[in-house]
Amino acid sequence: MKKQLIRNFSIIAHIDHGKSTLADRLIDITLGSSVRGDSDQLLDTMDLEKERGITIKAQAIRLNYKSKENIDYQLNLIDTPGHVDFSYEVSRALAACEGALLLVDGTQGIQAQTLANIYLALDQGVHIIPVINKIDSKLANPQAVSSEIQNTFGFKEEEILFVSAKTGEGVEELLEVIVNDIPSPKGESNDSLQALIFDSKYDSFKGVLAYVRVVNGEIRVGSKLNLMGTSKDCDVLETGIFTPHLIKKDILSTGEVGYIATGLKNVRDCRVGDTLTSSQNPAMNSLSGYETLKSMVFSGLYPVDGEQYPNLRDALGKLQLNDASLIFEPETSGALGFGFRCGFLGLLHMDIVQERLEREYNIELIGTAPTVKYNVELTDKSSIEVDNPSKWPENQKINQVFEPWIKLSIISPSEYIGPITELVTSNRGEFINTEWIQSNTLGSQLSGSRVLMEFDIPLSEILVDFHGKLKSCSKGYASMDYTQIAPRPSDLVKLQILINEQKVDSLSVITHRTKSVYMARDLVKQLKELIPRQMFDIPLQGGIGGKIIARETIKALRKNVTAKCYGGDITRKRKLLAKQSEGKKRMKKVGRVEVPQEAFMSILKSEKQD
Amino acid sequence: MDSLEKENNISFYIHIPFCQIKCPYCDFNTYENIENFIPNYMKGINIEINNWEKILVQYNVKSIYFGGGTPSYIKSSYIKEIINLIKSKFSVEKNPEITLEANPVDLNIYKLSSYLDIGINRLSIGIQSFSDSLLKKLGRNHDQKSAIKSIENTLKAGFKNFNIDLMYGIPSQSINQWRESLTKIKNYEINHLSTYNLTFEEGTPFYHWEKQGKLIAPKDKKIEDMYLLQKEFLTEIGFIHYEISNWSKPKMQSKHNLRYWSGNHYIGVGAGAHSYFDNKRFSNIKSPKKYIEKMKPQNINQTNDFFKKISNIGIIHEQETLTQKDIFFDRVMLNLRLIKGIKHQDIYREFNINFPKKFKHLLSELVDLELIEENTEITKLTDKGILLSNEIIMRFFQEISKPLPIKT
Repeated sequence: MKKQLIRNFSIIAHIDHGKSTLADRLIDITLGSSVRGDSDQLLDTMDLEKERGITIKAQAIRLNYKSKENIDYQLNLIDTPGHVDFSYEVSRALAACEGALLLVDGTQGIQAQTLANIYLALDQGVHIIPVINKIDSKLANPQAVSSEIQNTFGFKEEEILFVSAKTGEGVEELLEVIVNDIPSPKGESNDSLQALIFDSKYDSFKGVLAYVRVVNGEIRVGSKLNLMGTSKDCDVLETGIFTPHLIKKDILSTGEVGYIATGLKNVRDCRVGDTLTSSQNPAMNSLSGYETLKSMVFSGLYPVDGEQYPNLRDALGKLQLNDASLIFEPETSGALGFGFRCGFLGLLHMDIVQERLEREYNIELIGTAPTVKYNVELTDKSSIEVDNPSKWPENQKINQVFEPWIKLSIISPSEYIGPITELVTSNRGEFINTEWIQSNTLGSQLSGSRVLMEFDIPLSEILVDFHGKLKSCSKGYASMDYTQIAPRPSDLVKLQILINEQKVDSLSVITHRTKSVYMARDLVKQLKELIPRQMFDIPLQGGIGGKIIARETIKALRKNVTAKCYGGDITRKRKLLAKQSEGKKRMKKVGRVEVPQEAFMSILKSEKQD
Repeated sequence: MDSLEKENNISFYIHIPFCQIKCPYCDFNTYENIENFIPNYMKGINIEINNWEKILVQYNVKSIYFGGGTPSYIKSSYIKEIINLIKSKFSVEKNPEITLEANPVDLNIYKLSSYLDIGINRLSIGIQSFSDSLLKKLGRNHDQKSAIKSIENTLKAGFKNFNIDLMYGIPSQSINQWRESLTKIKNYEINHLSTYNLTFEEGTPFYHWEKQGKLIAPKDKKIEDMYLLQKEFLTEIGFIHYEISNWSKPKMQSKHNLRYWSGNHYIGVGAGAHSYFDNKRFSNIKSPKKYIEKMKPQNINQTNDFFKKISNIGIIHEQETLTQKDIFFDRVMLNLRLIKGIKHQDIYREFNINFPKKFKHLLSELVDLELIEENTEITKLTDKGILLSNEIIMRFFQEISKPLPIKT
């Protein structure tokens, strides 16, 4: 195929704005609906993706499209993950394209991730086609949304398309705009090979499959390649395209999108954003934009049943095969036993990993409170990174602590400015800016009074329960997104929780000094509710260093005695006590106190974010 | 009572599932309005006892206990027939303890003297309370007056050895009402007392009424106070606390019940009755009607395997063969209910387990919490420990069933 007839594009959108449904429609029109069979949201292959309506892994599919002018085009649609945790992957997918469809829900208008995504697309310099979706819905106000898009991003009215991904209305017109407006790939077929890896995946038969966009040169089966970032060599065992099933080809030429079976055993050697080049005739430079991903959020994962520890280790290993951004190392906790300290890209990533472990590998988990990574400068001028409260140095050894901050963007109807600002500032956030999202359509309820608010806030403050609170203080209307900014010095302390005078590492948290008293009181109060009464009084304390700042007591149980135990009662009683003590077996021991797992899970539980 | 006797001793429990009225807190296998079953049911009891004859040839009967239900509700000629049958078919100890449970209203002087005549030498009287309002709340068919009358009659008839049941923790019962009930004991020559903390057993009307809020169970603190009050009071008037709910004057303990708590064997006869024999615990079907149908003479099957023989009749409701671990656990559970506690030497002789060593950490924790007392010979619950005995027993259970540590 001549590269003039190739169009590479992505769809970018806020969650639930209809990205996967639009992909389904494009597939139906170009390949025929038989390709999809009964499967909706074809490109979301994991159950979790379908259920949560989010895309986790990038996917690609080749569509053959005959235009109204009877020209056969090759369209490569690259589906991008739809969440801030995966913005690096989104940026690499966009870097593999010349165009992007900016899909906006006609009932909701611009949302936080719409903004985040369009900035990523603008950074990559791709051609953006604004598309308003769900025009079949009674709740839709396409004109108002169109006006919003014009005012916010500067598009002209005639550039904006209207579709219903559900009914297919407007989708054929969209295809025409794709082939007419999105530039064909540039690049030289005679240059040395440069191919951008935008995702990779482990296949037990073929080894690591690299998903690539050929920028310059071409890829032939049997050739030897080099990964410029990791300096690994690999062979092209097989190459081909996605339909969405893998179809073998002998060659991937300039501008094309496809896969390479590399024979590599580890996805970590084949990282997203890396450049593949020819071993014999290497390119001078790698493609720009390659970064090694850093974990942002950390949590300890422990099996509820200690005997599952080896299974947890295996399961994490298997997940890591396909997820280079997941890191883990063994960790031991006095209360929870053997587990792993895991690093994630963000909260959603953490949730997904936990849920897959529980669902796909049947391992019940206790996850400790999520933390971020702090840079701690010690009095001896050395500095360490701390991603685990148990590694927090003693107060007198700390000179200064730097904590990660983010720029938080929230889009919401204007009436919630007050409660949202209150929420953010009470979590140490700083107000930066408010912008009105303007719509010229008079009387539009939808977007006439919406604002984009920007704040700077420590990342740790949004880890726990923030998203839920944002939703509830805005009746569900506010959406949020964030990007990392420079870390800032901060007065942080380690809050220790003591159960029956024994420190419990898995319950300790790093918190700002100003919030520590409130937090300590809240934690011991929650624990009092969660831990059942036992045969003795149990003091619950929260403290910093040696100083106790909060205290509660669980009063001792007074009575649990069976009045009668004669001939007929013995079996019954043994079974009853056996059953009850079986229940206790699932509890974790802190000294002599039996602590239910919920105590570790409910306290500081990260909200489910999606 | 030596718990380590080589078990060629046995006890009989005979279940009489008939009551004039069924009390709303009772979860025993007992029924009202089935008096027409009595003759056939008693025939069934006769047949079942006969079935055991060949199996128990080598055994010596230590005690017989008629429980219910209300054994005093049926004619004493039925009871007589059974006692005579057991005496004729088995080798029975010279002066076996023969107990019969009775309701106060049944205990007229004639019935009492007939009981003495047929060999009953111990009674257990369901007094429950000396307060008319509480008795009414409990749905009993007697009042304070008839309760006292029954005690007077029992003494007049010449019984020295009898028990009365008293309850505490009855909804609305005050500490004073409990003290008054206990004080009544002082006026009579009573040698044995069972004091039960009322429990709201699942499936009983009391259980539902509590769920619906029609009854309010007393707070744990109040139960604790009542327990401590009786401890002080009964000790002062010469009672010895020997099991969680049982008190007696010196040498007046229930021999039959002590056999349960010491881990000895017994045969339960009648509908829903439980047996412990040859490392098996098993129980009969609960319905008296079905029991009567199954318990026909022609159903007796001659085989050497005792259990096969019984199961073939088709009256076994539930059965389990105990592992050595189960037997050990039962022993710990039951011995801990005894105030004298667990004798380490007995445990060592029978299970080859060094009790203080095996439970070293648990014991030191429980001693620390003042829940048990321990010396080189025995381990026993303190008063605080008695009130938390289930929690403590569970801890032993966890220790006994602890898995091996995992490798990582």
